[in-house]
Amino acid sequence: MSEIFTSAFLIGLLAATLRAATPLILAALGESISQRAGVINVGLEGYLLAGAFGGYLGSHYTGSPWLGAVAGVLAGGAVALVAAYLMITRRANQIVTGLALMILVTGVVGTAYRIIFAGPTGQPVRTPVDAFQPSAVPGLSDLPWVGTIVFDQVAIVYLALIAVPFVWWFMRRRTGLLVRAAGEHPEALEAAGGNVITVRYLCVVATGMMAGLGGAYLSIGQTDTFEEGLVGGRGFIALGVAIVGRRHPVGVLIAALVFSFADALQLWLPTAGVEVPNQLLAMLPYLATIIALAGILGRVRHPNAFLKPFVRQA
Amino acid sequence: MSTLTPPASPELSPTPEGTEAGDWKLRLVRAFGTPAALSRVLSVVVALLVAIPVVAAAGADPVTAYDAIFQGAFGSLRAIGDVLNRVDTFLLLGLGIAIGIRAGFFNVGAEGQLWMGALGATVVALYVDAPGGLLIVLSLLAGMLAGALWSGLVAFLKTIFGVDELIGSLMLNYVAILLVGYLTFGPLKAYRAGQTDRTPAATDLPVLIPGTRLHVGFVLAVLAMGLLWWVLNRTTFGYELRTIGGNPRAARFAGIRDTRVIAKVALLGGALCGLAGANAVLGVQHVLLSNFSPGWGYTAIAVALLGGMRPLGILAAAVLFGALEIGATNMQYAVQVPATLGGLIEGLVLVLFLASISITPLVLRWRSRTSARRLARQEGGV
Repeated sequence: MSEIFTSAFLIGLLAATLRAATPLILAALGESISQRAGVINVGLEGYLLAGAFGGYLGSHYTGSPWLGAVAGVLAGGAVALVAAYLMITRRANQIVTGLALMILVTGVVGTAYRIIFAGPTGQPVRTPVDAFQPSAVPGLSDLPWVGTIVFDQVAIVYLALIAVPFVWWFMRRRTGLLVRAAGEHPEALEAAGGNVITVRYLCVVATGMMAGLGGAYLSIGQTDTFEEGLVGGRGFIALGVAIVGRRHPVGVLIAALVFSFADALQLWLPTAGVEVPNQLLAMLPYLATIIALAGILGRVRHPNAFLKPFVRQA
Repeated sequence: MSTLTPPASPELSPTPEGTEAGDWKLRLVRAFGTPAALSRVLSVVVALLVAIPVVAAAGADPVTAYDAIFQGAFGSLRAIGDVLNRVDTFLLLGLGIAIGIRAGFFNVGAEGQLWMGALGATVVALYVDAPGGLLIVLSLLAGMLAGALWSGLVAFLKTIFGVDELIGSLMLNYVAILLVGYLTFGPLKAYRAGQTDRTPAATDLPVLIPGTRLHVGFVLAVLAMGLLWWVLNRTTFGYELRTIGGNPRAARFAGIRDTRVIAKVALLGGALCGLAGANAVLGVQHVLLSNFSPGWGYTAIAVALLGGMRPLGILAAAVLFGALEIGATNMQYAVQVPATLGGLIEGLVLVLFLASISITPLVLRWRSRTSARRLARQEGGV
């Protein structure tokens, strides 16, 4: 038990927390913008998977993890564009659309993975690719504690952390006003000369691109291979993170870190010789989301036009 | 008006555009009955066409591959039995989902209810001491009860705490899956981690046709379909739930107690999904695995959607998806095209269907009294 309180253990635990939080922060930041514009992305799981596979393929073919990350961003954005077309232009039910894309991406990625990396037995062959390596930030990485926990990570972790203040800034400017107007009072936005359809499209595609980067982190940031179960429900946890974090960047950051701490505990407690029932710990994010929605931590209010498609008056 | 719920005729009557293009479109729509029917058929056809290059990329001849899917699904009595067992799962889940949506209660918790149903049935089959026939009945009932409780929890959280049924049920799905994971790796672990002991042979659902694996559960699913049709179309309760789904305000003025109807809908839908889980364990798998379902509860939402939320339509969609999945497995053996192609085609059908019918969405309309009041306050404050 005493090993839990050594600094090496705690540093390892907290660094693992930040790593686990990275895809959640990216996906949930995007999702919080979309939700403020009145659109929910139930298919976040699919965006992440597309990003993970896109990133893996990109790095496989170019040999550069950076180009891989770009491919992941594009893949996530492409899936989100299809979702945006269905939800915004075709005014399809947002929940069904999200699930449809999740099913489609799972099928496409599973099939492509098995075809491209086919082995002699028909099972795909695990093929390592060039992955991101930790890049220590000069100076900062020498700081005690924080240096190892925060400033000795791969580049995508830094991008996720930078995205938090960026989104905050973005939402406080006129751009944020447009986004919130599209979610709260779309008619008013149109009357003021804005374009609800465009704003919502941009929000959804941006969500897909951010989730795509988060997905790429799972394949070529955290590991150097791909497997189909890689995302493992993180898309749904990210939905929860966006809601528990009140669709605010700082809230999202805190929620993602807290949820990931549970995740990191599963990994690190066994190393200190403490056995925990993994599955029970893994339930915490989902239960926390329900509790948050139940108003025990204060009421979460949805935007007025949440889930409502916009019909332009002729 | 939502086209997720069965059509109101004015919206569905095709709009003649008066142009030449409109004329052929109109004729095409008339040939199929309704635009929705046309887009169903077209979505399936186009999805199968779009998948051809994928098959070719896998190095197989598309005709051979599609033939392998067809033969794998309908080529032998045994294959048909396997398809019908999958239809059993999709049909029950689809019905359970549809009854909720018809009442405006859109929960995506079928997956969790399915897992809980499987868990309930397994626990009773393993640990209750009763004579064979009775034990089967008890296990099935336990599965239905577990599914109903899980779904009832969503309705409870919504009514009392105002938790969105969408997000609440989504989160509870994972709680159910992790609960089964915990139990199969912990307290219920068999000689191998990640699964329980085999359920007693006395609880295996009887096989209907010798030489196949088709089990009695399929008959239960078809009976449930008939029962649901009757409830929806021939009872006061069915009328009430359709009214709430169609126009909640009118329903409230008419004195329909929406909270009560929704509670019943949730329990009934959960019981159907739970039965699907019980059938899958007792009829096919005979053991509860930590990876029991690959997401059938989500696929079933697609089945319910394609089926137009009507019992017979859901049956048709369940047969289509069941045949695709079982056939795709056979295709993988026959021509080495990955069986995941089945899921790819399912996803394509859905996306094409959503894109081709202009759906006005089903907004989450049903709200508990408290949240309705809160909503009124918000709207009043604008």
